[in-house]
Amino acid sequence: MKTLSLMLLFTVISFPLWAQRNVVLIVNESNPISSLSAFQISEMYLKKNRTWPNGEAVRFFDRSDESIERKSFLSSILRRSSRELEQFWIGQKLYTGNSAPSQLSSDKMTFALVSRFPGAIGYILEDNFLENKGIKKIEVTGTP
Amino acid sequence: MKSQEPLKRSGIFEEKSSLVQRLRAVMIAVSVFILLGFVGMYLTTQPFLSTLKRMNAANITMTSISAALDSLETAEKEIEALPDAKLTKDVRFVFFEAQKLFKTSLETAIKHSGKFEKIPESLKLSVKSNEEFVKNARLVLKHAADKNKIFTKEELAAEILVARQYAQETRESLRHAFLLTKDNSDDDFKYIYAKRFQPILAALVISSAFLIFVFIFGFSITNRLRRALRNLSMATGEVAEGNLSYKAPILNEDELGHLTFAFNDMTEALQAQKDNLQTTADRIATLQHITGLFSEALTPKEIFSIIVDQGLKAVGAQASVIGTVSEDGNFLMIQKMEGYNYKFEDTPLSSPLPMAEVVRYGQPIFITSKEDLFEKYPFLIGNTVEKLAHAIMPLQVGSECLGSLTFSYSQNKSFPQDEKDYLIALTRQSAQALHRSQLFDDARQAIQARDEFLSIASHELRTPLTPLKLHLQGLSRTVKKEQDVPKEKILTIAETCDRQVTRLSRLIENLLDVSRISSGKLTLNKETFNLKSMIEEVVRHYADQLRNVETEIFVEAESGIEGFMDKVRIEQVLINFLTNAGKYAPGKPILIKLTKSDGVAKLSVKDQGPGILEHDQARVFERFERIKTGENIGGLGLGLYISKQIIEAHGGKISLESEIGSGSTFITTIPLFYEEPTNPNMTAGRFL
Repeated sequence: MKTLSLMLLFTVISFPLWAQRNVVLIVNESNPISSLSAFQISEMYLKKNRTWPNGEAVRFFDRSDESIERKSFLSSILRRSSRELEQFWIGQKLYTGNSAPSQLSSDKMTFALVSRFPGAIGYILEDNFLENKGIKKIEVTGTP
Repeated sequence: MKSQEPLKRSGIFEEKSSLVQRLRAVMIAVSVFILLGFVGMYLTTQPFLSTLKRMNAANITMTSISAALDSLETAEKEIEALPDAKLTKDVRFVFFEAQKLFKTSLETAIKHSGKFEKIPESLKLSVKSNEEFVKNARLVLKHAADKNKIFTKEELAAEILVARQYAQETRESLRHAFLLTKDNSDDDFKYIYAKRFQPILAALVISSAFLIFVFIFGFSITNRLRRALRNLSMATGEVAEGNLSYKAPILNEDELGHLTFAFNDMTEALQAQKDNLQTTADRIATLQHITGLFSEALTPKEIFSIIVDQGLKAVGAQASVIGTVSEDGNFLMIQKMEGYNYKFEDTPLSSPLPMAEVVRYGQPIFITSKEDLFEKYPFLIGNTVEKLAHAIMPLQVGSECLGSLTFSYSQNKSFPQDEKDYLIALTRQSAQALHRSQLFDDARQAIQARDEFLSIASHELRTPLTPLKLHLQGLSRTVKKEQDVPKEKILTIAETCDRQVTRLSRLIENLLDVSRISSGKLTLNKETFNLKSMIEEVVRHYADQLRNVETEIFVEAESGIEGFMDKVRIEQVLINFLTNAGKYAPGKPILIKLTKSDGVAKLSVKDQGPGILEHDQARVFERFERIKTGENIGGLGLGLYISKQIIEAHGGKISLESEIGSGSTFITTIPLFYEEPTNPNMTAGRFL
């Protein structure tokens, strides 16, 4: 009982902590973009903007639903809940045919796919960012 | 009585409109309406057809896209399941089979999506994405099948993710295309739904317009037809009941109007024919009536009255005059006139007036107006002409013209042929009636003359017989009474009886001559003799008788005149002249003259009697005619008649010159050598 309480307390206390864990947006290194606003990122994620300024197709790679990266991304940049997104994508599928971005299970996959597609964009925890051939980090400005 | 006017059409009907053309126009309009209906239906349904085609294409596209999505999903699942698949080749097989289906479906979708905007673009994007998918899938399959297992599971998983990314993009493009297609289809459906009543409305509008048109024009035309036919039907009924004057109203100037006009024309013609027939019947009845009146009339005077009085009524004239040819054939004697304000005078037949002209030429004259009169008879210009139109007709019986009959009118008249025929028929009837009355009159006069003659003859014959009988009875009594009757007394009585017998014999001989002349059996026994000798012989023979009445005879005769004649008959003529002179101029000298000129002997006997009136001069040569002088002069009145016949039988002429108080001269001119006509017998002379 005590343990449970403590754990619960810890979760409640730590929520904002993990919620506040930063994610970094990574793009293919061939992408000339160096920064994007949160709004722009949101637009891309929600597939409202599907093309980079250089004409390359935007391919946003998401993370698994329960992953910390995704939670952090949703809360810090997208500012939407997973439930909201779920409903959004149901609607999108019905009315635009768009489906949610592919979900990747790991940073490695994220790196592999972002470096694979010139127009790819993904996110990882800032802490886990490693300089990698084929990808680069972009700055996120503003809030959605 | 009205005259028959020539049948004529009341006019020419001009068709200003045409029912047939109107009906044709209606038929054309109906055809146009039907065509418009078809066109309208086509035009209003064409968008629907196009839209339905689009919707059909959309359906096929959506179906194909759905099939493609299913195939893509199948292919993607195979690739996704590849790491766990036992046999790569199975995965490959299913994958590529799915891809075949995908391609087929996509091709179908692309084929039917051409009508839509953006959809083909999306489909092309899906094709491109799918190519990438297949390309990466091949890579995955290849790496998966790699027995050497160069690639790690993570690498393979990454490649699968890459392939799946492309598959997802393909799917998104397909879904996008599907949704676009659906939207288009929905729009089309909305469009059709929104305009679903359009064809019906168009059909309703066209049908309504057509019905209104048909109603208006059809009603108008049928109404027009109905009224016209009803009028014609009524007119036909009226005509069938005998009302030929009924005129059907002409309502329109089209074929029906023309038919009505022709119908009215026909009834008018029938009416005119009926009137003509009635007029003819009336005229025939009138002629029959007048003929009946003629049959009851005996004398020319009665005939004249009937002709003028009844004729005026019969022909509708205002005046009439009838004249007959005189006995000498030189004058037209006016017998009766009615309705004129002036008196017609007896006219010489040589006159240029139409009354005389018709007698001369035997042809009727019809004068239609005053102008026509002056044109034909310019010498009448300036005269007051009372009446305007005249019908002057000869009273002709066979080849003989008895006179002329004139009807005059107060108005101008055209005298159509039927009226001329009627007038001529009436005149012919009148002429025949007049001729019969003249024959009757002549017969009556002849009977009267005969009676008179019988009276005279019996008296004249009795005159010598009575003293003859008395003398013979006296002689008989004397012989009975006296034994010796003196010879002188007997001689005296005998001479007296002889004279009476001679007188009686002469009278009977004259009667026989008249009979011979009448029957044409008076023959001439011609011989050549000296005329002077014949005269002297006659004078010698009658000198004693005439001396008793103290009448001296003087003879002035040329010698050497010989002629081939009947001597006895010529003597008879001379004796007649001398006997008359002795009767009418007793005690006065008688002069006999004989001359010759150009083969013709002229013998005249002049007395100094009282003379003969001019109007009696022609009469003295007629039978049984005697001049009444107040004295009782005997005789049958046959001497001069017989003398005239004898002289004319010799080819000669006999005439009389006389003045009252200066005596009379009887003149004969006789060809000395006369060739008789083929019939050697003397002509019978005027015979009633």
